[in-house]
Amino acid sequence: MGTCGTDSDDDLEYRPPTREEVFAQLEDWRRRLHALYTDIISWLPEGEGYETEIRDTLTDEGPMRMAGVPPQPVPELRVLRHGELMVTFTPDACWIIGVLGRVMVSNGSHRPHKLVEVDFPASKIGWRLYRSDWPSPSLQDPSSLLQPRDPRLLSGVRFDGDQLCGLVEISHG
Amino acid sequence: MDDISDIWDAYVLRASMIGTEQHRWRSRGEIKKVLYLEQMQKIDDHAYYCLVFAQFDNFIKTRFRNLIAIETATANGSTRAAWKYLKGNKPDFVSMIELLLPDHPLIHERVRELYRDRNRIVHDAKLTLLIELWRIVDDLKYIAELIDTTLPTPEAAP
Repeated sequence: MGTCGTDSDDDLEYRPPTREEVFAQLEDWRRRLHALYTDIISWLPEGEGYETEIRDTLTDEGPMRMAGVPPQPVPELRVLRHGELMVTFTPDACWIIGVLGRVMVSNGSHRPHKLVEVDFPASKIGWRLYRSDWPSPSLQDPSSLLQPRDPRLLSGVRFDGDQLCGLVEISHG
Repeated sequence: MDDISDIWDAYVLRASMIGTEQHRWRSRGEIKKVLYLEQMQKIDDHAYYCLVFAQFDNFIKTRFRNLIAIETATANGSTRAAWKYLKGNKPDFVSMIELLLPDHPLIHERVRELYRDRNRIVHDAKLTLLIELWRIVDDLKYIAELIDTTLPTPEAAP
């Protein structure tokens, strides 16, 4: 393949992770997921019938296969209300260029939304939500092509209790 | 960096179309088609990363030339000699950013990561890497805007 426009700096070549590094990365990923889930659980309003379940799901990412590591368990969070499943947070990837990790958020009403963990710039550090139902351009709606793009499509929004409530309400409605 | 906005626009449209189709096929249980579209999206991610990074690379080199023009015209003594040396001996890409934004070590580290990723992407013959292009474009625009607010514009260069 060619280059992206630069022509040196080969000292910054990529080196695939070792087996030990894969396990260390997965351990760190589980820790960060549990921290996220702890926040989510604390944001759910009390006395409104919410319950949560954390259960393992298997992850199988490219660097794991390169290091000869079979699929490994990572925690998934399910939020229920009066016994009905409202939202599922499913870990998607922790080896992903551009962010520290990605979690897909399904609430049944739309294409899955995504949560990404960001460590740059300082003003955006943390989990950011990208919703799949924000207005985006579509060939089926030609007028949408010439509209200014919603800035949230690029930067997302900080994920907090209000954003969580928005996800739950849509699911409930 | 205006071109990045146009590239970004094109990417958003493509990603939106592919995402809609993927959702449609997934709801019909057509998993083979979903996986096919997933791979098409990955190829787009690789291609658009290269386009965006090339624009960023060009922006950095232009701003660096501008910085050299200013410094060789205004600096004195050994500092001026050092800038004149850099004019004929271009530093590597990350060093250019370090000279453009000397007081931002977090940005140097971020660019080093992005450059390492860029090397990984152009050498990924199978096009299977996962790339969160939205965040990368947001980061590059942030760095470019910071450079533009920190340095004089090219027109102001001697």
